[in-house]
Amino acid sequence: MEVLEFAADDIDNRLSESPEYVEALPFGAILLDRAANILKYNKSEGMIVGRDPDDVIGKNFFNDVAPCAKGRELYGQYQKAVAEPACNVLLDFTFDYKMEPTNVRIHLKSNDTNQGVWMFVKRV
Amino acid sequence: MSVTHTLKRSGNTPIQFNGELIFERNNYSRSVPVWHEINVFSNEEGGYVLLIKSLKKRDGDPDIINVYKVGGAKELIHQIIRHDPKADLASQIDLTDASLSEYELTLQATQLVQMGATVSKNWSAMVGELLHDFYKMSSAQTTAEAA
Repeated sequence: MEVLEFAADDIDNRLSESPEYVEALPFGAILLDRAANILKYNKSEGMIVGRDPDDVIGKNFFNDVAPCAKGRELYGQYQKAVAEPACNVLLDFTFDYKMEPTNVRIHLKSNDTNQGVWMFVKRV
Repeated sequence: MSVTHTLKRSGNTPIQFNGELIFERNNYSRSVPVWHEINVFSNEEGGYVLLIKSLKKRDGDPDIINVYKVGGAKELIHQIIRHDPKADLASQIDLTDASLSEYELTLQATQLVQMGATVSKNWSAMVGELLHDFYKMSSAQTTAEAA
């Protein structure tokens, strides 16, 4: 299995071709639909933030999992991503809702928002 | 655009209505362990639904979600203004710990009072912004209707 690097430009295409790679990623991966509901949430992300993927799949990311992101750049960039045909944005963020503050770098990536918006997460 | 919303409420069944989200504000701060989120929806009956969330960063401190259905703008404003943002603050003081000295108890109580003051200040700032935007929107609608 090839290694997919964090912030790679074609990572969403590669995951479309080989969805099983998502669990082999050494960084977090969350797939959100257009309403920010969580479609996929890999084990690495669960380890970064201390959550069980089964507990969060189907929940709304900004209302139920990370309300600390609402009204901040991550939320704005996600809304922009949904409104535009494609997105490829890197930003830094600190998750601190029901957990110890954790600094991460986030890669928001999508080539077709009807297929969802990927959020790749790496501790910094 | 009017869509069906289902809102979770603390200590009660969810509330469902058809309406549109018109305002969404929060006063999250890195340095404060509690923050609030306010959502205002207009409903198809010509009134409003007000959602106020009290969100806590600490794992184990429950978030409190209050939802109010109101008939008009005056009632909406009254409901927002009368909400006490400190009501849902969780105290970290362990009153069962007999080893705490009077000094330590006083210190923790002082910290709680200070946090309450910060939460109130942040709440006031958010409410001021929200009501300002609400008045602007209401004025614009009145002007458009008159024209």
